[in-house]
Amino acid sequence: MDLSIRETRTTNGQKNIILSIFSFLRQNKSFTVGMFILSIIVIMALFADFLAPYGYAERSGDRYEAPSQDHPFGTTLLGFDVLSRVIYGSQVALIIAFSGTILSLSLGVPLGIISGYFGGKIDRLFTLIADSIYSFPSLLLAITLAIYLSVFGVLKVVSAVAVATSVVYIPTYFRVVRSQVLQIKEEGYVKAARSMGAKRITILIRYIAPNVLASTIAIIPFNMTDAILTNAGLAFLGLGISPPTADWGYDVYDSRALVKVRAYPWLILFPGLMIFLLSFSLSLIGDALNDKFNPLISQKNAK
Amino acid sequence: MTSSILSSARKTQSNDRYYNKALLEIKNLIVEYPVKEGNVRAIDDVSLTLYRGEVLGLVGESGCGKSSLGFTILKLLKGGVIRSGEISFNDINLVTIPEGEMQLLRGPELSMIFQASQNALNPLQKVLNHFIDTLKTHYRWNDESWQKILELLNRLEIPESRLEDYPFQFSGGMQQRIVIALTLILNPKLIIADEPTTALDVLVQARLLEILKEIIKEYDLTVLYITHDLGIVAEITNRVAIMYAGQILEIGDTQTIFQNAAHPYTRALIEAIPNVKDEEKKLLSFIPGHPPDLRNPPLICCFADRCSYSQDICHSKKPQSINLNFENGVQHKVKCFIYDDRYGHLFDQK
Amino acid sequence: MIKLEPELNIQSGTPLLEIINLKKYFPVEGGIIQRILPTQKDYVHAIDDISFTINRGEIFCLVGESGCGKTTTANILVGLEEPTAGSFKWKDNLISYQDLKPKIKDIKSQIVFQNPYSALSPRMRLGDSVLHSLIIHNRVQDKITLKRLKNAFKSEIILFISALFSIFLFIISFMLDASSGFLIAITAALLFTLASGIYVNYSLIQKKKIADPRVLDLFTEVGLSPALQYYFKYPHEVSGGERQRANIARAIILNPELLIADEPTSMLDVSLRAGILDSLKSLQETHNISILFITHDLATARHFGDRISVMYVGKVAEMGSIDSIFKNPLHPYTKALIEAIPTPIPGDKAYNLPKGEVPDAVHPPPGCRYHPRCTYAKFPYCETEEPELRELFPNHYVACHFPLNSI
Ligand SMILES: Nc1ncnc2c1ncn2[C@@H]1O[C@H](COP(=O)(O)OP(=O)(O)OP(=O)(O)O)[C@@H](O)[C@H]1O
Ligand SMILES: Nc1ncnc2c1ncn2[C@@H]1O[C@H](COP(=O)(O)OP(=O)(O)OP(=O)(O)O)[C@@H](O)[C@H]1O
Ligand SMILES: [Mg+2]
Ligand SMILES: [Mg+2]
Repeated sequence: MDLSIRETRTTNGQKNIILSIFSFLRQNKSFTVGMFILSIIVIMALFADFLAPYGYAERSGDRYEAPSQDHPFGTTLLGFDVLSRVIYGSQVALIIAFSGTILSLSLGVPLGIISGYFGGKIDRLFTLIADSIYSFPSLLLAITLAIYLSVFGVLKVVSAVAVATSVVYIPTYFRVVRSQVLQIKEEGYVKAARSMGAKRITILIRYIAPNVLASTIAIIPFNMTDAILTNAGLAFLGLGISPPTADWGYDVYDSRALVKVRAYPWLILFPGLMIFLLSFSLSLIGDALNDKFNPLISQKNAK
Repeated sequence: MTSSILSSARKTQSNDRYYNKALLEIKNLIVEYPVKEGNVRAIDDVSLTLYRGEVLGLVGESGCGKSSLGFTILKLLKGGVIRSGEISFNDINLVTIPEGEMQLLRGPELSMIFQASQNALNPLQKVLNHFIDTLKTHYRWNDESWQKILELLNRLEIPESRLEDYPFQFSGGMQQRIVIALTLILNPKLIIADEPTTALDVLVQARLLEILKEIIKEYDLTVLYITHDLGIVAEITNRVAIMYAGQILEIGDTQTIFQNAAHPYTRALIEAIPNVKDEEKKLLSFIPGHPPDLRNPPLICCFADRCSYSQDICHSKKPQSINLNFENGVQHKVKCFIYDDRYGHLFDQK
Repeated sequence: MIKLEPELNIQSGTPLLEIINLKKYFPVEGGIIQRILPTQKDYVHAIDDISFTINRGEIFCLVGESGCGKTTTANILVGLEEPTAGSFKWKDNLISYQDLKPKIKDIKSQIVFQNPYSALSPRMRLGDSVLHSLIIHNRVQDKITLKRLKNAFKSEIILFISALFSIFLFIISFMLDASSGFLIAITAALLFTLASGIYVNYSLIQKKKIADPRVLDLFTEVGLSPALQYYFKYPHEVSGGERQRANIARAIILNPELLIADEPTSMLDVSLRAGILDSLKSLQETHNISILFITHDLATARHFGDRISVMYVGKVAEMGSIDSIFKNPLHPYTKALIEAIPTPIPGDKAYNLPKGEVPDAVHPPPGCRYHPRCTYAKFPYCETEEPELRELFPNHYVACHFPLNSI
């Protein structure tokens, strides 16, 4: 008897996730392109030791060698291989992108949920702070903060950039999450759970968080882009990661003089191109995710 | 009361006054919304004639394509495509007409009142300015306009003194009446009213319906009245079309349809409405199941799955529209195999 | 004068819940000036002193126009809102709201909401939504379900810990200005988190789809069959009527004594409404539940309820058995409501419809709240004296100075 119940209580798993991912990829060309570029950069970072022909601070040639068979992207003043520096540079770029994002996510989202759900004085305080940070031009604020943090020796450059980016981005996550929570709080299913006597923490974890998180996904790529640009901006001011660490921003800074750009264009071209490609791919991904997860747009599509 | 005089006047007029001159003719219209999983066929082979001076009710459940039909007539369809069919209005083919010319028709010729038409009012503009703007955009502003605005407001029971107020200062029912006045000021030949009273309270709705009835009479309007409430249909329309899953299953004189509905769906629908004036409490009846998915519909009768009379034939073919009696001056048509001479014998009882 | 045939045996049921002088005022959020200046505070008089009794095993209807306080009453009775004043009698014991609340939380009353489209979490399967009310109250009995829940909990903890761990790695790595070695460690941690996230969300729940037998039984009972299929559907995959059935199942699964249904059918199609009501009625009979049925549709109340209370701007205008109120409405408002509903009979006309709209509940009219719209004789003190709710006939109460039987 028990067996028969078991049989009537189970069904087979339904749609394959992999298939649905594939159909998403096919429909979102910009997402696919962005993902493609991003994964190349990630692979470059992970396998830099195998991919790079030389070390990033290894004198492998003469100064300012033009692109050739041995040095496809040319060499620098000190005879470092530009290709190798570009490959190794992706590590720093990704570390900065990820750490800036994770830091802002892990603070912005919980704060938004708490503020939105509990309301009251905490909410007012948080909102005030978030709004005042939000009213600054974000990249400028991040760069300024990063300068203060690193120049006065509070933090090392990478950490300073991460912290500065998250100061700018925490309010963004906070605001999006908070407004979502305010809306979801009034939804029938949250009221139903409350009327059933569910504890607050249960409601937060089971009902509110899953419905809120989707809306933050779309912000992540933009957050990463800004982290990278902050780092590049810092480097361009000459306050970035100290040489000889491979950093695209520093390499651009180092070769910015007009004479150099004219004479040895490969010095600025390749690292600059990488910064552009990385932020471009992230923006493509961001836009596609925005279309999919932005509550307003997707609600309209559903109706 | 004026309304009772008007309604008795209506009865004395002969029916052919309504049903001889066609104003709008729709033939075999198919409209689809392309979506990821295929096409949502919101309007499936609809043919419909609207006669001058009549009120045609278009009833159906949520999502059956009523609003889509209204929007298609006005060429305001968002995201949808007219796959085939003809819409002729006063001998103008609306399907092929360029957008520029269509714009000239919207307002003075064809007009639509929406369910949440409060949103149609600009919150930053006084009510009076709405009227002036509307008239000026269509070059209708002249010396008599004032007179006309005041007369309309009077008819719709909006005090003159409130012309200088902003829309948010009015209640929902009043905003709806203002929108109706704005529509009427241009003297449109055809009005498509898409659930104009649905968001209102019963008492407000009842009053608005009464006003609407009088106005339709007075200004001799032709109205396509879209609603899901058969009670309203019974009250305000001359003719009614029953829509289900994008198709018109039955169309005929209102009186006839309520007393002698032909299609099983219409009958079930009428039985499902509770009547507040019933003497005894009774069990409400319902139609089991739910409306079909409009994505890539199969070529069978769309009501077959829920129909208590359905036979094998209903699940294998699509019924064609069949002419029944000619009652009260109009043709009663139905899409059901029971009334088809070729298949009628398959159903033992009607 | 209309002749009345009062029904005598209405009160045969014993009272389950008595609501006595219930009030709920919402403060009006003023503008900046009002906040700075200590002006008098305005209140929305959502419920202004109402009393009624719900008997055991009956369907008590609460009707009225939009904004008259129906939903507020329901919210108070399920603990979503605190009343401003009022006391309660639960099975003949007089208690305050503070004492009633634990009873409510102890699943004595449950609610079905108006909007079936928002009442179920879009990220939960129908079955899990219903099961969750059992989980909240630790009433899951089925061993396999318990085991499944335990496993899910375990893997969520794993996910949480690995997420924390990877954040920790990040912090360390950028404290040290990390290079490639760290990057690999971080990526590993991230991938681990991602993998366990996918594991929690998909493999565990989706592959081993096991339903709870109690929920399955209930699904069949509320008309969601085959129950097993509906159990694993998401709300957006089913129609509005089916969602509302799942909502009913969720409310019923804890065996409440009082079920509050706040306009459960008003967002559904006519052809589906009666089906839902039918299920509600049969549930009420088999489980012997009392239902507080809230609606603005008198026609539905006429055919579904046993007793009715007609509300107007936070007050009870008329109350009594369904039959006596619909046969002999005594309050002009009740009569107007009955008249105003379009009937499915062509040529049927409404008479004596009031003009104007529902008054603002912040400043309700003095005297009888209905007097500005009342089409019947207006006596001077309709505008000054507030009418009491009087029992004019056995079990037929009306709050009107000049009820229709006296005109
Ligand atoms: N832009 C759109 N994209 C895809 N499908 C749509 C779109 N607009 C409407 N539909 C679908 O077309 C069908 C008809 O919709 P329509 O709005 O005409 O229904 P309706 O009869 O007016 O319903 P209601 O009574 O709810 O207003 C529905 O199934 C709807 O889901
Ligand atoms: N949280 C709140 N804050 C302030 N006012 C409120 C709140 N909730 C309800 N109200 C007001 O209380 C009154 C009664 O509202 P309630 O929702 O109970 O009405 P209702 O009878 O359920 O109406 P409907 O038929 O529209 O659902 C309304 O005037 C409403 O604006
Ligand atoms: Mg519509
Ligand atoms: Mg309500």
